[in-house]
Amino acid sequence: MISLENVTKEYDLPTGKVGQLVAADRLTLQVPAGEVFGLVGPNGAGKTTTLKMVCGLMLPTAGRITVNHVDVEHDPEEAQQYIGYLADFFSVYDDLQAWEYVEHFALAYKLEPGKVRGRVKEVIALMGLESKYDAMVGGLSRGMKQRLGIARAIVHDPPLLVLDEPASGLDPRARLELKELIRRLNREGKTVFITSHVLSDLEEICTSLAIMEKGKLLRVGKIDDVMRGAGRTKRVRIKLASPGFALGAWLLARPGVSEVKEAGLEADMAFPGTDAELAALVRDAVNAGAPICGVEEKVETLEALFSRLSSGEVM
Amino acid sequence: MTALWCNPEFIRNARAQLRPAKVVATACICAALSIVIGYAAAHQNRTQLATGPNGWGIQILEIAFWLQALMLAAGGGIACINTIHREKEQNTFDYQRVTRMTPLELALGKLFGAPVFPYFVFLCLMPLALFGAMMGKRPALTVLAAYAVLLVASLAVHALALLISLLTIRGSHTAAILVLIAILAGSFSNNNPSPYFRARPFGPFYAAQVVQWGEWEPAGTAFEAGRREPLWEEDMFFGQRVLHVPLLLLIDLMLAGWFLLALVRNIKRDPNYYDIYSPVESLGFALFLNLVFAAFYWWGNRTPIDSQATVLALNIVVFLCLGLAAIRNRERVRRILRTRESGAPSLLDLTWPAPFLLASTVATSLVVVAGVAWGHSSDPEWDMNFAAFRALFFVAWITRDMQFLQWMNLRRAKHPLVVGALFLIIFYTCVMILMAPLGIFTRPDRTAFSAFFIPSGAFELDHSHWILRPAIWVAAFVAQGLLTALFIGLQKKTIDELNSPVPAPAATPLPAQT
Repeated sequence: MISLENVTKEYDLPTGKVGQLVAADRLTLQVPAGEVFGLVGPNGAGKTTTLKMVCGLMLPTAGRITVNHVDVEHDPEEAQQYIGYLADFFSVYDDLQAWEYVEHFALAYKLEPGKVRGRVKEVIALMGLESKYDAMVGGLSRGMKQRLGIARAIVHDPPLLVLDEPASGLDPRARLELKELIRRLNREGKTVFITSHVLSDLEEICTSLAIMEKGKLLRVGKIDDVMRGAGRTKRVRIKLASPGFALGAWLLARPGVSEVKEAGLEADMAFPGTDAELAALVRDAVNAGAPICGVEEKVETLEALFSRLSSGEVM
Repeated sequence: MTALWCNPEFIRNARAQLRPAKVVATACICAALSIVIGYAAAHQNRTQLATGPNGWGIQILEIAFWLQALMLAAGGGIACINTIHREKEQNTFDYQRVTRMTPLELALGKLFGAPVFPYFVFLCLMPLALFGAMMGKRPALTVLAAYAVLLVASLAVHALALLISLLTIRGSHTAAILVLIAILAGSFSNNNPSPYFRARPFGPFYAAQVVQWGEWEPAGTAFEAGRREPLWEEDMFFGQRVLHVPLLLLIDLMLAGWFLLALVRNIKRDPNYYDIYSPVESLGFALFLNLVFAAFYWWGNRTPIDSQATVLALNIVVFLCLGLAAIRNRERVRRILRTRESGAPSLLDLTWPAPFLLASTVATSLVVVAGVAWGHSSDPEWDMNFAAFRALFFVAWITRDMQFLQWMNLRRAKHPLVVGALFLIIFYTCVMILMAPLGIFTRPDRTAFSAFFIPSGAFELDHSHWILRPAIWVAAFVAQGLLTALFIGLQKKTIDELNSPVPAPAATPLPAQT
């Protein structure tokens, strides 16, 4: 659905600093149709810039972007019919009624005039804003305005939704509703390209993920692969029943074992082998006299992985 | 393309600005105002009453028309200046840019949608104006012509205001409004003839004058029997008498078209890559303006040198605008460099905008020299060689300053172009202050020295000035070329810095891919 080929975006650093900022550094990325693709990164990583370039709002310094096989730079209006975009800031026309706001964009996306009213009612109902159909947009709450923004983004039934921090500023309940809505839209066949600071939310809804920092992609892949380091490394915790065995030193001496951290009767490690190889390692430790009472494969959260990646602990 | 009444942007503006309560309140206020004006005009004094409906009717028409003109031209213009700028501030403009509306649809929607409330007030005041016209027995054709002038000239003003609004950066909104007001104030017509042009004003307020005169082509402008020269009020197009109102409509429509073209080219673009006109379009616009200058210039009223100096001075304004539009920013140059297959900048990149400015100013100079030659061919003071030399000075001078601004705009600064323009202003102010006590402007034997710095001396160049200091004149001309070359060299250095490789990133990406 989305293809980025060597996409680069350079800016000048703020006045007073020498050099230039690379908001996107030769990004090459494919977002297949039907995915919920999350783009994760700290502030200034280049996420919003990437999304804006995908939507044709910003030209890349170099590289090529296609949406549904349409070159965004050369044929932006053709590409934009496939995109529903929600920016990371609140921006609606306060001087319109809710239905007028959605209808404006339905017409701007050139829906058939006869179907516009029906579609407007449909998306307003989908967003749970039926009671606010005639209300002035300026009088709506922040969460409602965000829902109205999503209504605007989906009114022309685009196959691709580009959502930049859609949960920012929403209360917990509204965030839950948003997650459910994204899942529902994905079930209906829409591809979702989303950024968020709330990594736990992304972990729940994304099927694929890219971790970005300083304009570069640190990891890209299916969410399970990304979380496990593309299936190569397990994070394992081994517990001892009693002290007296230098488990940390023993583990470090094993081939392939890395990132060993020993704390009391527990030791954490990164193990690149299969389950059978792990079982053999544990058996060897027991034979060497380690009083092992528990072995646990740690499931790492996206926050923890992101924290380790962005600190340079792992690549 | 969708019809205007189906244009989503027009509909949005109409809905937002013409809420029923607001419409009713405005209509009531206009009605009350109309009654008050009507009553006051009819009962102002005994003389007014004595003149009967014919007298106060005209006065009502004039007042109503002025109100309509102010509302439509000034009110509509300010509404247009506000519209895109405000949308950018509110972050709603990006959402319009990602819709499927074509740039033309979006531009037309804003052109007629943004001033929809001023149009409504204009309509609300129409009954008063028509009542005045009927009571004052103004010919229907005159009233119709006045409205046509007002609407078409306002359209040109609105298109210009929208373009300004699109190009306005954060913090310069007030300045943009002041520029618009200055343009409108400049278009106010009075009864004094212009010493330069044989054409009446082209602004929207000329319509009020049509109403005042009571005729769309005043009788006073007709040829008087036995008189060879026509009166000043007549429009003379290359020496031929033309009717002003149709001409005004044509020229204002063409101006609106030029502004609309710039708007359509840029309204959906990334703001970092605004490109007001292509080089060919810029050349076309400059030639169009020069054709208007040359066609209406009052050649017989001035000496050949005066004539050429005036038209070249007008072209300084034209090329200041077009040159600024052609100048590239760092983003554009960086993109050009990164997308070049060879990875190296071309000669055109390194010397931009000098080639474009040379081509367009030379073409313009040809029109100007041809115009002066046509207007003064029988004048004993006319000398083609000096006319060409004066024009070449103009070409060199514009190219020099624009090349300086281009170099400045590629430097790393918060507002490099503003800083560059400020430097230029300071330079010219200092030069003029220093030259005055040295008598460089007043003593003919010293005028040649001024040509090193400012073009005004060169614009006055004739045989008597030339003979005093021929070598200095030539040196001053060569100096313009050398300065341009210097700025090109500095520009090349800046481009080389921009083209230097980006530092290697700290992180290495994982090859995993979906």
